Amino acid sequence: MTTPARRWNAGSAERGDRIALVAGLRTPFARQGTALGQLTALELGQMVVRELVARSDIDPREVSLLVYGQAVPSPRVPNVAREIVFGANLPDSVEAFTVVRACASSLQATTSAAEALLTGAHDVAVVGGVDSASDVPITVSRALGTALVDASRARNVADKVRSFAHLSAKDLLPVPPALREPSTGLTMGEHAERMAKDMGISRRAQDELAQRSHVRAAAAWDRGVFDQEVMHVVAPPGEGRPFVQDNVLRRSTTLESLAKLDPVFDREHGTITAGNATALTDGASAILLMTEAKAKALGVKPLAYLRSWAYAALRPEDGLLMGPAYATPLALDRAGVTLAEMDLVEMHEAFAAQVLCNMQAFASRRFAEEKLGRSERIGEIDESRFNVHGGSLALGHPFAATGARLLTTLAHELRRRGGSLGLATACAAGGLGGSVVLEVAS
Amino acid sequence: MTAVSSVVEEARQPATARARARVRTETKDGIAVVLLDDAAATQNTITPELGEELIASLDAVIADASVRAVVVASAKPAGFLAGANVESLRGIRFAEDASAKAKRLAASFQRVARSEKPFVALVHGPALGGGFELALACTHIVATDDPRTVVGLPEVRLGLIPAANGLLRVAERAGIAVALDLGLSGRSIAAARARSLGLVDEIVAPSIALEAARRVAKKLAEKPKRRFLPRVSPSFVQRFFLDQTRMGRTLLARRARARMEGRTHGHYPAPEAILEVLERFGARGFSAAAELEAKRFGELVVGETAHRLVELFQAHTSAKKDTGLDNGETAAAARVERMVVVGAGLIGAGITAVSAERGVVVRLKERDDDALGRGIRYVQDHLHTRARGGHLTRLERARALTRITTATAFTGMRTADLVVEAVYEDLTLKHAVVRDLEAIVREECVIASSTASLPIARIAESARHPERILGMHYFAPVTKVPLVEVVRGPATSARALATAVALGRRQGKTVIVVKDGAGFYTTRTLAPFLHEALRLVEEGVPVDVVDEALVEWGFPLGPLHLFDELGIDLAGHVAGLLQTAFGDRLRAPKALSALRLDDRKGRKNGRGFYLYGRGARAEKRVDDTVYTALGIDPQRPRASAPPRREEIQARCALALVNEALRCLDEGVLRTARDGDLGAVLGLGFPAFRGGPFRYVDVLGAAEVLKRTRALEQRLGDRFTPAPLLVEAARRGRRFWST
Repeated sequence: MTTPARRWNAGSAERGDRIALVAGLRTPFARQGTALGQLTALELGQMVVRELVARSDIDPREVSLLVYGQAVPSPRVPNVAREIVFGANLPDSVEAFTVVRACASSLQATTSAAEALLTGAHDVAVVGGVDSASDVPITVSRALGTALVDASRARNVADKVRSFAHLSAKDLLPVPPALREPSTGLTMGEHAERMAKDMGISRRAQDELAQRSHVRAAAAWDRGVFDQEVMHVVAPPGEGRPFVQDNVLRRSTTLESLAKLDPVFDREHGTITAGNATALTDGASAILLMTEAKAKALGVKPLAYLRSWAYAALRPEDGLLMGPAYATPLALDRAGVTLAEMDLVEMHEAFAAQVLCNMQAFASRRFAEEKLGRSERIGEIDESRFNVHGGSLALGHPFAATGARLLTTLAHELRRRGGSLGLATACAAGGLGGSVVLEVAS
Repeated sequence: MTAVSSVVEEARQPATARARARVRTETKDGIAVVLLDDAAATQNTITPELGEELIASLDAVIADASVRAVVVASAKPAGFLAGANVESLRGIRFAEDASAKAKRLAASFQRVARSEKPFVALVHGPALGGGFELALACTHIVATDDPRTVVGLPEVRLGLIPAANGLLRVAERAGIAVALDLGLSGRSIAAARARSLGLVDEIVAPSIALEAARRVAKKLAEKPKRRFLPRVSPSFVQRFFLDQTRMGRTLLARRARARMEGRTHGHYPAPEAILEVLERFGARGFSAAAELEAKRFGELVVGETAHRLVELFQAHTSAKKDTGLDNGETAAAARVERMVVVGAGLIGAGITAVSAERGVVVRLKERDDDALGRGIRYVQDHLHTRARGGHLTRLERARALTRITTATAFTGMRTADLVVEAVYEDLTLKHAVVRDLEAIVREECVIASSTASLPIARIAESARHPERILGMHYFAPVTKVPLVEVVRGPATSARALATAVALGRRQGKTVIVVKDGAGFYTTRTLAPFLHEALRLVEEGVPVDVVDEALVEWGFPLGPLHLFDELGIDLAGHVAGLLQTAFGDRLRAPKALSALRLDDRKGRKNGRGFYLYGRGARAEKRVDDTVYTALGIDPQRPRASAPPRREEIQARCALALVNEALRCLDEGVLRTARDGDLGAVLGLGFPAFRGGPFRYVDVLGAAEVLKRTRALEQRLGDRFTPAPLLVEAARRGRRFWST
């Protein structure tokens, strides 16, 4: 993946050619089967895009592109982006495509749209991502699937019946989607568990990180940090009350209570528990992007600009969730900056272990030399600038919604602190990672 | 190319063509196409002329040996054939004439139905009343999948019944229960629904409709349709029981009659006639029922009720074309793509619902999420009901909901074309809302207040742009009451007015445009009616006696019941305003403040004239403690000589009528037509009386003056006859020329 040359390299970025992040919004995130449990992923996506467009106060006819991410697409709505157009009070002429890059899907949606804007094909785009752990495609077993297809093609009743003859009772059970890596056969949790062991990450360190995430998130909610970023769902179906705040956060979490939890993926020797891993979540997020020139023409004040971005991949067996450590140096190089110059770093917290592994890699010269082929390490991550308002562990993680959440929170917080540069990075299934550098409008 | 244009295309080069002015026939390869095309109108209706040509054309193709099969279609893109021409019905003087005319058409349709030749009706656009009856007489009905293609028997809405055996043919095809439903409700149903009921045989795309109809006709000529053999299914068994057994028919009739009487209170003869005809059909078959149908139709056509309802229908039609602008004024209405509704109460949520349903993007604003949530649920419930009633598909319902966003602050409103505020009736609050809105909306954005009473001039007094401010007075429940009173303030621009009028129509409402002033037309006219009822209670007349008298007179709700529904607190608030503006005539009776002191707000707090909540039954019961609150001993023999029903009716109704006349005199109303529509649709004035102005015309201004004067002498100045009434009586003037 290369970013368009000249215009994006540090020092030659021409003003007027940058891609502006104008506004960002997300739904509150809800644990699977709770407040948003009766909404489909499509409805969640429509809801957040609709509100984003309404709040933006721009004429919806200015929008011509919608790129949306979904990590677990529904077979009934294969191109969720296009269907969102029809439920978001946008013109039917808005063209749309859906991207899948697991947990980095809305980072991908953002950068894909940015590239489309840079080519001049579009001026204004809406991006984002959605996943609903409550609205997952439950499928049938391979054997039953084959039988159903055979039966539909059978010419007579006898043949139709015969199609099902060889099925066993087990074949009739519905099959939920597995969060298992097709290439390794291991679940993501098992991979994280292995990474923690390989890199010597302690249970205690993981619990501390999780605890800090909850404490910071609670403080952020209390101070109203998320008020601009999180919409209210006033009448969630099946719920009596408006849903206005994530319900993933546990304010009562203490290190002691975390320490009591049993490991999930390796009951004997493991360190990953329900307390230091993300919960299955429902939610959606969206961002309004436009070219700098268009923002000027519309008199819109952007929150931030996209300075650079990069994706990278590694062998899953080498640490499935190490993607951030591979993608970040690329993105920093493209922006012509160093990690030390980052006023803030937002990293997706799939597992506390994954965050700690990546932090360790960032700080390691050996990792840089052996894995990245670079003589300089990426750099230490300063905790006071890292996930300052908590992360996915405390906020929740509707897979594809997370990338846009990282970018929106990062942009707002950079402005709040008067900072100028920030990094958002996420790991993704398949051994992928994505990183985006934002710079605040000036 | 649409079916219609292809027909027109081919009609230019017919093989053998027979052209009349309104019905053309073109025959090719043994298939005749009978084409309805009234050159004098945009829509085909059964005028006497078209009726005669249709009968002649149908007989001609039946007689023509070279014709093997027939397609009946319309050349109008606007529709197949709407029912009888309303104008021509009004000219009929005698019941026998009407019966004879109906029989003549019915006999012609019967010849179509009995013909050896297959007839295929091609329905594109509405096929209503006589149009639907024509289609039903055909062997096979092909309908297009265009959303405008609907069928129905709306005659009951004009106080009539279908007179060309339509009810009977619906009963034959779909059962008596369906015939009762369509006949009594008068509603139209979409082609898909009609097909599932068996009222349409086939649905095709408009582009191939004519070709398809021809092909079907040809096929049927070669191989006649087999008689439909019903499969034994639960619905079939049910239908057999209901239609074919005496017990089933009695059950059906009893159910329909009970439902009907709750609504008509014996004032509307048409529903009764429909029931009677279908009962006869069930018991004695088609011909006996057809005979009765023609007789009843004749009686109804010359009856007063049908006259009033037809007149109201024409008033509707004429109001639809009224831009609301003054003579000589022109302005183009801006199309409202996006609107804001401030306030998610009953009115605000209702406006949101009807707007979103009809394609407007709405941003609904309230103070907090809980109130917004209640508003959204109200909208969801409404759309759910509409979908269940077959007015919306599931997809349309879902789409309507996606048009709505919510806000607790004034955000996301900059692109709005129009805002309606529906906050509490408080001038300070309204001023604040106008100020907040003006700070953010575009300069062209129209700001409408849904106030029921506050003068627009007052609301606009501190506005930066008073020219864009006006009133849009909706009635609760907005989803049901089909009226909007658009109020033009002294500064309101023509463009703002035209925009609001167009939006009201798009929301499915009849719009009347009135001049500014306290209470406008409807509220101001309703107040003396309600006050008079309350005075009767003060005088010792029991609550239920007053209400029953007016329900008997034809109001859907009695005035005291209406107090409970509107909110006694709100009524008191408005009464104060009106008294300030109009003095003693609209002074509220003392009882109103006594009720407010007793914390009686009506249904909303469960305390009013009637019992609510757990103790309440289906049948409304008066809350006897209300008498104590008013200082009346409930045990006391109620008033020494209780006034007669007529007295109660006259006092309340004439108070209303007299005030309506003042409104026309003072220019609050632009026409008597608006006054009648407003009272019937907004206040529940009995439709069979036609509205206050028609009521005066029918009774005669002199008689109304005499009765009003009598009340004035006994009860005082509040019954001083409106100057317009005095003048009309003196000159023998009528308010309606037709």
